[in-house]
Amino acid sequence: MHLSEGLLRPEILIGGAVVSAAFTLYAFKTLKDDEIPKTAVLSALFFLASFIHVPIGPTSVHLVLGGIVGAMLGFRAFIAIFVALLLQGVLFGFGGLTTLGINLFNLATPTLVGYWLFMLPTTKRWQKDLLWFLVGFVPLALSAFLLSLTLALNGDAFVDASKLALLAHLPIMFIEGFITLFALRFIEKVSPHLLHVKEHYVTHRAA
Amino acid sequence: MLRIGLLSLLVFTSVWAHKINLFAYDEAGLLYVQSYFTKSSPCKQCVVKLLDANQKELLAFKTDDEGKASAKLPSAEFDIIVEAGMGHQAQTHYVAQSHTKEETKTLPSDMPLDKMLLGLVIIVFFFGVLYWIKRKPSHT
Repeated sequence: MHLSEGLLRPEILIGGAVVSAAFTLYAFKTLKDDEIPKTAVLSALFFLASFIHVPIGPTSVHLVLGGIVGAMLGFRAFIAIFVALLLQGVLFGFGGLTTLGINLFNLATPTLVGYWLFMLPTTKRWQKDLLWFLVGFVPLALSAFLLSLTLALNGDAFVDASKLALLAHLPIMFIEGFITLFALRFIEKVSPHLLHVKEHYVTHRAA
Repeated sequence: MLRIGLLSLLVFTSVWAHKINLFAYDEAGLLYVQSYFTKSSPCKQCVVKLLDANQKELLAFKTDDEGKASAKLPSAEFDIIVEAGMGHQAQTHYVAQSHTKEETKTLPSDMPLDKMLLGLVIIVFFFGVLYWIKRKPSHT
């Protein structure tokens, strides 16, 4: 999921950096102090998730957990993922500083869809469970798609790699769907107030 | 008949001229590779690739003008492939004799806990500072 340095064309790197910088600055500017602890915890979760590798065929993919981050943070996911990606790049060489912008765009933008899914109203338990599964599944699918698109846009030589990137993440999409479902159910049971994201943002907007 | 015999010899020689011979040994943690078509025709500037059991590339380097190359042993067991272009290549499975356990220990770990801990400390520190900055205006 982390695109390495020296691989992408400058226009892709610059485009990704500009868009991600704008989103992240906006997220920092509008961040409220009482949202910071939760953002920190989810940044740490995202940081650690990438160390859980799953070998698939000739390649290996890792957990992302962007769905949970997006569901619980909304637009603040850009801050959490930015910090985590920066540290992954600096400390471990996952991705890099020049690719930070495009990696952030590919990973953080889909989490907003996770947030949107999480906000959808449900009346029955099975509907909620299905949505929470999709909160994990869909953002990762979109991230894998954006990753593939980035590789394909980079040139014909990367088209095969882009197809492999999409296919390799298919099992992880299901794994993350179930992890997200069970994690959200667990949070709902032990600390349901943490899931009241909607009320929280509505209150802030009104204030 | 003589003509056919001479022609066959020519084709046969040509086939052998494209066969790559690969010779490898290791000593004191270094792998030495020598590759040649014939004794007088070394595989010059040919790409040598070392692949692990999953055919993942461990190392790639080139031979010199004498068809020789050396590199640090990446692991105890791997495949060596020499590519001479035009689809010509030689491959062999290699078990290193001088790859010590100490060297294996120095290979980077997938999960360096100290760095992971450092990352978590930085996250706490960063968001702590951010909290302090964001809270400041409300106190003044």
